[in-house]
Amino acid sequence: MTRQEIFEQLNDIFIDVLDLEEVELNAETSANDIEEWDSLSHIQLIVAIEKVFGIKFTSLEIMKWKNVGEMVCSIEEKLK
Amino acid sequence: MQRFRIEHIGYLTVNIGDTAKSFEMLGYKAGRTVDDDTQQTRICFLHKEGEVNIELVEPYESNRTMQKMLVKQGVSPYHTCYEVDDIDEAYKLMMDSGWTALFEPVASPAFNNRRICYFWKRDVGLIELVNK
Repeated sequence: MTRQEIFEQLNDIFIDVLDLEEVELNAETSANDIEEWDSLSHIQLIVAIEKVFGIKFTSLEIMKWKNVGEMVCSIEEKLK
Repeated sequence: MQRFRIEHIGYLTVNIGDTAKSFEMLGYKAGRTVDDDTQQTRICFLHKEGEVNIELVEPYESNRTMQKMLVKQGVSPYHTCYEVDDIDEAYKLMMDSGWTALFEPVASPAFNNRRICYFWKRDVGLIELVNK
């Protein structure tokens, strides 16, 4: 799966989980940019991402992400 | 050695008054309802002698995450709370044990400003800690 495909999948997950009409994620997107992205919905995003990509994150990975780009890097690593 | 004593079970609800009334039949009495602007929720504890407390959590309209949870799962239990003697020590222990913190300990108006924090783990779900 390419980095672009991961972004596209993530876009769909964010729209579904956060109930957004649309979103255009990029590597710099962070919780500060999306009002609906709070600490509780972050967990819901993790659950959805793990399910869709068939991967599992560690708590350290989950808590160190500062933006979507770092999230995508973690997903890429897991999919290798 | 940190001890974790169950303090309450948290229920997400659309309306505290309606849910409290239904719990009355099960022998619970409602305490006062407190607004927690930080968490964007209204909170009411139900008590029954010798039993674990029930916490009713009614999200503000502006709390979109919890409002969506209500739409998806309806009124339902969604976390268990444990009382600890030292929440800072417990926080570190949980972090070292692979739990994910939703936020660092903060004062909670519903607990007379005792400090709380939330953790998540894939195999357990959500738990809350409250300082003694």
